[in-house]
Amino acid sequence: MITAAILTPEHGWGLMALFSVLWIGLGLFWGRRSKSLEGHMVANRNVGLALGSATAMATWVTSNTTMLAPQFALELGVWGVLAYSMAALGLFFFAPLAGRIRALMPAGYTSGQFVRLRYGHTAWVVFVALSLFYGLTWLVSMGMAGGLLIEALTGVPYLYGMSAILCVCTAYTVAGGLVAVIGTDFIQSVIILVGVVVVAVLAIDAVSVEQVHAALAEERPMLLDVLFPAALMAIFNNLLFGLGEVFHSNVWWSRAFAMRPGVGTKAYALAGAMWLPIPIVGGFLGLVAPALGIGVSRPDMVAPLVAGHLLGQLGAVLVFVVVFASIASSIDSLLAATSDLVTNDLVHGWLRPNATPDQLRKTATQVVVGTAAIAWVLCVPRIDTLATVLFFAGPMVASMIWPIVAGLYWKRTPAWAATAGMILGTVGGLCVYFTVGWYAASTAAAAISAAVVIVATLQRPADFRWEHLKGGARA
Amino acid sequence: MPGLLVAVVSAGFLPLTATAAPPTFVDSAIQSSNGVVQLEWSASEGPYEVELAQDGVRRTVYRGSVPSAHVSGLRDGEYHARVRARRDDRSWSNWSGPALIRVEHHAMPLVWTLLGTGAVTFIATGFAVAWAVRRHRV
Repeated sequence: MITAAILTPEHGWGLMALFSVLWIGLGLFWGRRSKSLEGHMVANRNVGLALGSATAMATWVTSNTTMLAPQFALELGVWGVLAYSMAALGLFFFAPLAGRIRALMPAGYTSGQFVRLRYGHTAWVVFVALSLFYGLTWLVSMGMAGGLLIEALTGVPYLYGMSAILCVCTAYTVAGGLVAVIGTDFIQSVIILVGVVVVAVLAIDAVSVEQVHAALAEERPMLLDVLFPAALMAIFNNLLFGLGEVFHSNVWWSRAFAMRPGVGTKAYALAGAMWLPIPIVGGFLGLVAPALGIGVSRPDMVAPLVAGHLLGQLGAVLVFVVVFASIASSIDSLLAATSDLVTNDLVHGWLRPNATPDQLRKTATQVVVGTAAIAWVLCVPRIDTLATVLFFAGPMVASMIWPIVAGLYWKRTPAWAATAGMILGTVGGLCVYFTVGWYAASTAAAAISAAVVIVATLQRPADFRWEHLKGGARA
Repeated sequence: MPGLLVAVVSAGFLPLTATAAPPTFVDSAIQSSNGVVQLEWSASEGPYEVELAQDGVRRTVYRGSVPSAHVSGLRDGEYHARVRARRDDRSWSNWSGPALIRVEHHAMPLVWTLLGTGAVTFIATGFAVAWAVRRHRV
């Protein structure tokens, strides 16, 4: 059984230095185009299909895909691989919504802005609180993933690796705003796709499916059981969690606002198709661990350990590069989107309504740095496994699916229904989280929220005017 | 004489014996409803070896230098885990006291209920989006 790092700390520092220079250099280069607030926050609303689909795909290939998908497989077996892959539907389902968002709010900036204009202040407060909490858990899970990956592959202590990746992403996001985020995402998506294909080919060549099956049947038999209770519950839970993440998060809304008219729908559908095979490859890495006799101390470390073991030093470098790219592509997106949400909704919409675009541009930069600093503080103690950190926010995001869908398409959905749906869904989902488990919490939250929104719309219909959304360009 | 004994042992003439205090599990009674168990123990130095036993059959589930082990895919039942540490002189500590693991997966009626709830919610969401897109054209 193997738990030692494959690469040396010197390799680790060298690779980190190389990519730090690359990403920060590109951030500074692209930052020349984002001097204005419009450029910094929505990339001048001029993103085409290639960049649009690449940034959506790269952002969705987070540390969660490359490190959590193997954990899903290791804990929930074959059903777990399927459950994780279902998250692709989040992008497919958001594709038509992206077109609708762009059409309804051609001058929009954030998802919070939509909720405030569509549902009013109370719903907006609930939405922003849930969304920021989720954003922070996602950011923390990725910062942790970066530190864990670097430690597992190179032996560089967790604290140093985690700090390095957060600092690099913060630097180029500050330098270049959403333009830099989308530009680096394009390069990172190419690295991820090429790397995943190579890892998949080498892994399948190194260990046969029969060996994997035999080891699982002997050592971890439930992973092959068709009636594995937790895994069955996780299927729709993960799907609904994915829908909630994409539907509500400003990460995806900011890209919808940034894309040219007519691009969003195609870009998100294409991104979903490109993303689909990646968790399957990641899941396979998790399932082969028992066959290779790899000792797993933490389930979220299984992917880098297996890949490094299977593919040797060169493979470890490849995995390092792929996962580093996937983590960076998500951290930068989340920093930029959270900054937009705080700057536009909280600062401009509430604290400083008379701020000039230049002042807001500076505020956005400060928010990026502040958000990264908070995430760093929360990452330091290595709270729990990645899954536990992230899925605690599952009920919150799943409770926002129906308020967003109904808000975008149903003018009769009343504001209080959205608020009640988010609150009751979150509370119900968290109850299930603590009594049953994370693998059922999002399902309960989404179901409760859907029931509240549908019943309220039918019983107490309102009459919202879509033109009201077009009028609110900025808060 | 003690010096002679050490020399004989280190030269490999005598079998290595357990010499140090064994690690101690942080939690010695663990319940799991999904077949997943995270074992953690307190100890100063590794590497470690963890064994899992059920119905008298033992197997090694972890060898490594981190004082925690992740085990998954367990069926319903009771298991006993034990851990020992390897010292600088390459000897093993005694085995720790056992950690009792009781795995009882969720009842299937609950599973079918939540699976069905998830399916209905997902289908309703898909239908709502498809119907709205068809109606609004964008």
